[in-house]
Amino acid sequence: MKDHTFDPRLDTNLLLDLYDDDREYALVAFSDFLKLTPVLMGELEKELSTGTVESFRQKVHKLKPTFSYVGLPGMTRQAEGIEKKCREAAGTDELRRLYEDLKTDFEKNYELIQGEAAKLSTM
Amino acid sequence: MKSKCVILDDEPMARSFLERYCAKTPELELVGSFGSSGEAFDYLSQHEIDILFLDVEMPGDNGFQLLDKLMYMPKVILTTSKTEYAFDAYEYHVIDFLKKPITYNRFLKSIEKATQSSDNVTSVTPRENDFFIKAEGKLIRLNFDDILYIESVGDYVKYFTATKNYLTHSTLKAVEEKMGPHQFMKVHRSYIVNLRKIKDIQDNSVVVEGKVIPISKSLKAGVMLKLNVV
Repeated sequence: MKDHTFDPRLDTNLLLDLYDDDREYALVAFSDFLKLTPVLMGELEKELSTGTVESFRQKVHKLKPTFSYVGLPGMTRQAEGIEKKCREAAGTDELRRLYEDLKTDFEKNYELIQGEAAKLSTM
Repeated sequence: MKSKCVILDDEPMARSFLERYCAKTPELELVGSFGSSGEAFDYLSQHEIDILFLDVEMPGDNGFQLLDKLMYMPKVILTTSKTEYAFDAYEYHVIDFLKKPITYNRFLKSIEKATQSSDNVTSVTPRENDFFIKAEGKLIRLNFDDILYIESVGDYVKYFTATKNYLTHSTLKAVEEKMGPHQFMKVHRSYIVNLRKIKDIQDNSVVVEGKVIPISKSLKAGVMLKLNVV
C-alpha cells in the first residue's frame, strides 16, 4: 500500500497480499472486524457456558479466519487449535482455558486494530 | 461471455472479500451472494450459474448437502482448506479449494482453473433430453425418456425407470420446475409422471408400467386436458 504502512506487530506481508493498494477496502475490512468480532467472541463465550462442544466448535470455526483479515494469522491458528481440541473431545475446563487465552489476545490486539483503522481512516 | 457466479458463505467478511474479488475480475458476473444455504438454494433452484464459491461448514445444510439438492452442477470452488473434504470434493467435481484468508492472486488462479475446465465438462453438461441427478454418491445421467415417474419421499424424491430406481435429496417442486411441462406432469402431490409412459387412465388414477398412480381431484382436469382425452 503506497501511502500506508501497517503496524509491524501485524503480518504486513499478508495484509499487502490482501489489500494491495486498496486502502479504502482495508478500512472497510478493519472496521468490519471491529464491529463483528466482539459479537462473535460474545457468542463464543455464551456457547462455552450454555451450548455443546459441537456448537462451540462451530462458532470457533466461523470466527477463525476473521483474525487473518486484519493481519493476525497467529490468532487464526490459535482458534484452529481450539477447534482441533473440540474435535478431540477435550474437556470443558481445557476449552475454557484455551478460550480465555484467545480472549486475552483478542482484547490486547483489539486496540491495535482500532489504532490501525484510525490511521487508515485519516489518510 | 462472463461467467455467472454465486457466493455462499455464512461468514460476512469472507463474503465481502469474495464480492470484492468478483467485482475486480472482468470475466465474472456476480449474480448472488448469500449467507445461508436456504437462501442460496432458493436462488440456485431458479437460476443456472457457472461458478459457485461455496463454504462447506454452515448452519443448516452444509455445502455438499446443498449440492445434493441442486438439479444441475455448477463449477464449485470450495472456500475451505480442510483435507477431510477431499473425497467429497472429488465426487462433486470441485474445481479448487481456497483457503481463508483468500488473496486476490490465489482467487485468480482458481478462476483460471474454472475457465480452463470449461472445455472438459461438456461430457457432464446435460443435453436437452437428459439431466444429472446426484444419487449413490455420484452424478448419474438420466434420459427423460427413461423415467417412468417420480415419487416424493419425505425430503427426497425417487426416480423410477424400467431398470432401476434412484433416490436423491430434492423436492417434487424443484423436479417439476426442472423437468418442464411438455413431457412430465404432476398428477398428485406425491407424483410426477412421464406422460408418454401412461398406459391406462382409470377414474382417479393413471397406470405406468403396472404401477397405479393416483390423480388428485384438483389436478384431474389439467391431466385430462394434457393427455388429449377425447
